[in-house]
Amino acid sequence: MDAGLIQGVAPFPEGIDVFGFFNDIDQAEAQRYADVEITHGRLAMLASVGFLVGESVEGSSFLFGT
Amino acid sequence: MCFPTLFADCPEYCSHSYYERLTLFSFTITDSQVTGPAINHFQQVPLPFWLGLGAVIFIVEASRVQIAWQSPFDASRLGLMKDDHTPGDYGAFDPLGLSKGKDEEWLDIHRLRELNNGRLAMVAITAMVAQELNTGINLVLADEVLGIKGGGALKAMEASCAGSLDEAACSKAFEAAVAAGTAVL
Repeated sequence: MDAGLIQGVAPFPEGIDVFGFFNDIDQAEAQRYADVEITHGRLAMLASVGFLVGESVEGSSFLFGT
Repeated sequence: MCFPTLFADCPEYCSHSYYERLTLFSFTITDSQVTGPAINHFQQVPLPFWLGLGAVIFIVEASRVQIAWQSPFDASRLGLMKDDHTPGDYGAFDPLGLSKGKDEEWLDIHRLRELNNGRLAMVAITAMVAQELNTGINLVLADEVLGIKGGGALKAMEASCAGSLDEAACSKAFEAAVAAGTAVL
């Protein structure tokens, strides 16, 4: 498979696939997995920032006007 | 600023000018306090925000499907992406122009960085949610207490606040007590 997980793990030429997600799947499925991975990663990057920001501004009189 | 008193002096506030309706709407948003651990913030936001968010998600996901997926009526099975679709490549989404004028090697390095940052962030958000589910105490607040007195203060806060009726308020009060140096540790 030439997408995502297998190609994106720099020091390991064969990639890391401990749970065998990429065993017995075709190229189209591997492509979908890679897309799912990068999409979840982007969402998680936004989420972990939003998590901290949300807690930092809670009760702020500037934003919530009380 | 206190919005209720602002409106209480004004019996005409239900008249129908657009500006007043707009003010009333923002009043509904701003008056609702969002507190507690961040895992519970989402449920506290008023309904108009949910509807808007749903619309935005629908638009984004619909255009994502248009870009990346084969039509389910033409494809041989469900869930097939287009053959020439590179995973993660959704058009030239680059509002800040970060990739402008960069060569292919620079782009490759930064694609890998994005992927690895994303993997780390997936682990991070899982751990943050797990910690808040476990302790029921604000992540940021807990870190502040930890910064003031070290691990002992955090443990004392968990011991005195875990299981209390309003853990967020309890931990907030405890943090104030630690900051003032009056907390019983």
